[in-house]
Amino acid sequence: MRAARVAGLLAALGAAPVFAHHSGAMFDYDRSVTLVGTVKQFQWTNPHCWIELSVPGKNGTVEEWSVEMGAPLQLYQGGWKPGTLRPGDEIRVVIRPNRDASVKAGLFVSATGSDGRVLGKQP
Amino acid sequence: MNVRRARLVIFAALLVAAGSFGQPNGGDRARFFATLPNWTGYWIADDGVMNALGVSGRTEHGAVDYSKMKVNAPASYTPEWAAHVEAARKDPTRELHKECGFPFPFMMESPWVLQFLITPEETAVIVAGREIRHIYTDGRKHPSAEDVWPTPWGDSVGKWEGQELRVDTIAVQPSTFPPMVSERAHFTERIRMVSPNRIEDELTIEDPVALVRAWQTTIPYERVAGLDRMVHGDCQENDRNPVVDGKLTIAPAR
Repeated sequence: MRAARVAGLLAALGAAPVFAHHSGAMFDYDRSVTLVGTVKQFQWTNPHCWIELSVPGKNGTVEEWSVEMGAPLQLYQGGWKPGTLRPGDEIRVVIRPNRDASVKAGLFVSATGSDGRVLGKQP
Repeated sequence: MNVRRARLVIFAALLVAAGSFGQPNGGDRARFFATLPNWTGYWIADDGVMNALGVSGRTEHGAVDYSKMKVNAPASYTPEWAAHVEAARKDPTRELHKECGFPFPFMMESPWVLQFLITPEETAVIVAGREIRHIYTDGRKHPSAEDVWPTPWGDSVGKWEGQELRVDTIAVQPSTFPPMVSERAHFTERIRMVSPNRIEDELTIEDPVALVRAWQTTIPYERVAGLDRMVHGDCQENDRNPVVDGKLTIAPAR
């Protein structure tokens, strides 16, 4: 009986569910990257919203980054609206980058507008 | 017998008189409806996990203490079922799985807000992820064995004991979401409002295949402030997370 109880305990703790649409294992939570660029597109879509950001790179190049956010309802609860970002907006975004550096993408952490105002509801 | 209980008894008698799917009409229905609690609004599990997610849908640091989840409370599994659970946990394809809705009982503690839509005949639990449970309170019983089959949300019937909804659920498809139990699992719940901004769902599972003894947890809900309508999710509208070369990745914008 004791063996069964211990096995059950381990199993329960280990059966970690995927909360969101997919696992977040692709993101590197030990690193943060700050992107400063121009909003190309703000996708207010399910299952994730996305900020498409044009970021000036080296030698006059422009890198296109994709920033993954939650679902529209989760953004709305956090004070975001479909019109919070518009193409051409200059913003600064902090992300947890993709572990695969060849993928210019990451998980949203926070964003500030060109006026320094933090976007979304403040805690 | 207090007045509310007397009304409940009268209502139940009317249902019996009308047949198992009959509905009392007019004043009787309205009077019974008036005795039911008002749980309007939107609710989210107050577990320090689901109500702690940010606009990314995750935590900033990625680390989530799964052990805080009420539906992930340790279970006393039989040795055979514990091995089954452990195998599921070690499944290397688990990380590649993408969600398109949550089964019962995990849906009662999902990242989405939910609502309790109460009528005399049924209470619907509607989750923003578009999962819906129909808890019939019109006096019916579960379907007979030949008329019921396992589904992700099972078959639920309920009855009001004063302001508390008692629910009985069977025929839930086994899944890898906690708590992992078998198709033979029998779920009972006592759902009640404990204060104007708090509801609790006391959930008990008995399962002769998976559990050595009954498993129990209580899922607390807090009222979601500032949300005045339900906005549903959808897993397919703009799915930019394909699996490429055995890994989840992010696709460019279309």
